[in-house]
Amino acid sequence: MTDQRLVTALEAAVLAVPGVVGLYRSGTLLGNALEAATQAVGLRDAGSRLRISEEVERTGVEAAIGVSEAEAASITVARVRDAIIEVVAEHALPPADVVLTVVRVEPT
Amino acid sequence: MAMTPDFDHEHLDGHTIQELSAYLDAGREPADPSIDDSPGCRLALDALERLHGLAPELLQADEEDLARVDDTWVAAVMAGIALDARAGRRIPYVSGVGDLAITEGAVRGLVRGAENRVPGVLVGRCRFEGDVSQPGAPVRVDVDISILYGRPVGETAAAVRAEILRDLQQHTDLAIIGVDVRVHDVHLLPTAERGE
Repeated sequence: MTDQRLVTALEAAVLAVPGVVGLYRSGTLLGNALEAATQAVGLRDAGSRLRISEEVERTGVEAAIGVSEAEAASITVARVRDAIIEVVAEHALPPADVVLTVVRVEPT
Repeated sequence: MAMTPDFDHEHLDGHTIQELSAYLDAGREPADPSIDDSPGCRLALDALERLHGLAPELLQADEEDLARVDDTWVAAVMAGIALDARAGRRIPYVSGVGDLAITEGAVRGLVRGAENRVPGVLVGRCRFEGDVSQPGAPVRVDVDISILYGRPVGETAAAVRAEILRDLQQHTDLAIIGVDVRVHDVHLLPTAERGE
């Protein structure tokens, strides 16, 4: 089970990045439905919008974000990646392997 | 209004475009997390909000004129919004570290956003021709638009093309080789229909 403090720290770091307007559950409708089922039986923390996999040599972090139109999405997503890498390092975990997807650019 | 196809449920996380329209009409109250936390629903709401924004211009026509607005056309617009909200392919950013990308749905949302900056325009079908999932692959954008009666067609289409190109260059790493804007129709043209 992923450390809840890590989840909380990562979510806070992502949402604190200028230009980020939302953090969504990543995956398809079917995937999210399956995930809801796994949460129901206690296999995954409810409420987490990040996918985290802690392995021996890497810490996988996957997130789907909404960004503001006010700044280039590529810049915002790179900042989010850097923020995730920093948080993972602060938790003394193996290096972060980040998968980020911008799923919405919010009109200003 | 004609029924929209069932793909709503798949692309809009279980909601229909009509439900989203009603949610917008209600001022998004009470808040529904199943809508607010769904990227697809949020993309569709963005487009619906712009569609609703055309209302003042529609209100310039009298009731008889409004009755002439083709329900089939409105249904097609709504269905297009629902279809465009699907995530689609992952479009990568050029990045040395990490796997960074934007969804095709988000990019279609950007293209539709040209409606915000070019008055009297409704963006219809939007297609990306080329392998958007391959960095550097040439991509051509093909967009249909409707223009409200009275707008200069050539000038408006050029403005839409410029807006789309600017947005795609700002927010994606796509290698755009062209933006084709096709004026599909001049719509909501009540006085013209009567030959006045």
